Amino acid sequence: MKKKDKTKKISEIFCQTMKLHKKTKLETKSMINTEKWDSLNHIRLILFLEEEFKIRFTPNQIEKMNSYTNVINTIDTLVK
Amino acid sequence: MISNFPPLLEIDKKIKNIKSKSFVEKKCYILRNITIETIEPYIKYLLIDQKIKLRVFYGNFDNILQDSLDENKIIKKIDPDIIIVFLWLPFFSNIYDFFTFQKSRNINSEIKRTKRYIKNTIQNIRTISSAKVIWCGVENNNFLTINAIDNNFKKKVYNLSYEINNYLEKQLNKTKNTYYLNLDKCLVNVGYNNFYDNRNLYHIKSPFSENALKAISFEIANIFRNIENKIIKCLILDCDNILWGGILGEDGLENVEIQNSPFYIFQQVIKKLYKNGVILAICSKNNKQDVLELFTKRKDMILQKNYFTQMEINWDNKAKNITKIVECLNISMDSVLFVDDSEFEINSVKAQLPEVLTLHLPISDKENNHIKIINTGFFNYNKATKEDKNRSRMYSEESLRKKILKQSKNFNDYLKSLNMKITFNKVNKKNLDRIEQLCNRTNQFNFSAKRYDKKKLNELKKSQNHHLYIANLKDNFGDYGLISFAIVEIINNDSYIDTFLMSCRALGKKVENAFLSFIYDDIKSKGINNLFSIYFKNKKNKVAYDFIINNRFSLISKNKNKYIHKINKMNKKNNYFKIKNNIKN
Repeated sequence: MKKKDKTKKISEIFCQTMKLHKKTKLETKSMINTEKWDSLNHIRLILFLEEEFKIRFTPNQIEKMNSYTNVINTIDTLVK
Repeated sequence: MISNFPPLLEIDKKIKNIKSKSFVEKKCYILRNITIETIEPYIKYLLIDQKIKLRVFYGNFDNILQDSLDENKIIKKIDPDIIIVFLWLPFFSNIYDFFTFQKSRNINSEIKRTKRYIKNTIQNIRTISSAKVIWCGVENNNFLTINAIDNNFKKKVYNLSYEINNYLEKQLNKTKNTYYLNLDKCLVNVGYNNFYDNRNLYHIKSPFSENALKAISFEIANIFRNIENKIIKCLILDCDNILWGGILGEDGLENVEIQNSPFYIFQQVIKKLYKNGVILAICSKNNKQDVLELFTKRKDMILQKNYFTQMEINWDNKAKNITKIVECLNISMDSVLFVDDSEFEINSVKAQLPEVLTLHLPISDKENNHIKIINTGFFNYNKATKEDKNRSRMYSEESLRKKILKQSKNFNDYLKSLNMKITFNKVNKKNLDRIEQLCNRTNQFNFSAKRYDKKKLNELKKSQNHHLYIANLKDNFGDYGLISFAIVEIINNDSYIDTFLMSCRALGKKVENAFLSFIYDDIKSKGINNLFSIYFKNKKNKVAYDFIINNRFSLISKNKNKYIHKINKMNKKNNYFKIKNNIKN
């Protein structure tokens, strides 16, 4: 999968679960500054991503994915 | 079934795109001691098929009993149509957690506490709300053993989930409008290894995996089908590679596979459905003579020729044949399931008759045909009344009647030859179940389409200002049972027909005229001035309006979809019936 397609898909999922506008700048988003990013939506995000990329995160990874850039990085290591 | 779900992203989009106009909005309140929010998209998605738009509210975490209490007024405020309860026992008490060591004294007291909790919650909900309750049972997850010593102990824990489930089922059976969700069924469908997602167990208290949630939502959607009475009345089957293996026209009568093949079990399942009141019909491209010959000559056929109410075996378009069957049986298109092995036929029927439900059973997976038809969940009746069980017999009688009709010179002769007997009866305990069912299921000949439940009917029965009428019908060919029901409300010495409905299988025999005429006379004998009918127009009840027009009732007022007509004295020239009146003033 190309990196560009991957990022596009992740941002789409991210915007949908966190109820953000498509054109929002996501790079700075983290659990602290995103209103809808609570523990429940975090699980939703995980479910969406796992299903879309057919991967399975470890609990450690789930914990570390606390910002948008971390999400991208984690998926980068799993999806080549 | 689980593989039927599209990805979550698509589900989300589909739910957002629901156009609320053609959908009924329902409110659902979920009481839980686990985090179950992630199930929401799956339930909503499955209910799109049933034209239901669901709004979901959640009770506080681990507050099932507290939320069911009136003090908080949450339930009254939300006024839900459906309440779903998820009481996951390992979070409720650690005796249900297999991995902890227990003393038996402790177990007994904890079981008592659980039962009390369940009983009180059900009672609380029932006293403050008339919503339907779906209670998710306990799954039996205790078959894991750590070592051989566990075996002794295992038995006790193993029995725990059974004991609680049995108790729960008993309590629910005692209470009206409650439904038991069998979580074991979901567990078996998904498999133990895929049922839990322990990653989320500790920090967000959500035990179930995505697959488990899909299976549970599937069961919930089936219960909704039951609640909404959107059940399948008729099963229309293809022949080649559905009822038997191979193609009759090519392989020949002796060579099609029946015994010692998956088709044998499939036929057994179909027979069971038939015995439970599902009407069977055949729609197949074949030579009719060949098929009939097979029914008589192949001794290993489980399904007999007379099980099938309707056989459309010809080379015509299948959608056309299905329409014929549906018209002949006088049922609506959405209460039919069409089964075929050819994807082409399925798609062509879907395109021409979008309301008809279809099931594709490809020949490549013939071994699982019988499981697939059960897993549709369409035949998952909550309660079967006597009429349900006799339904297929009644429809077979109906097709005999239609044959006689073809032979008769005219329609009046035909009606006379049936020797119909109508009995007017009082409402009593015995027929209340059937009346409730009629109220909820009758769509076509139904003036107001008001849905009454037993409780309301009992109130009306006792009321001074309401008169309830029911009619039974019999003829030469058999007993129709209770077919018609009416409620007349008296306001200021005028009477209004609040409800007038008739089962569709008795329509077109002028019974409705005789019944209304009887009501008219009865009302007049009570010294009441006028009789008015109230008709609410909807998508399905045009037949009832035609009846009003044909009898030339005079229109008094029309407001949006509400029509009020004055009923004049009915034409009494009906020599077709013998009438027996069991209602005494």
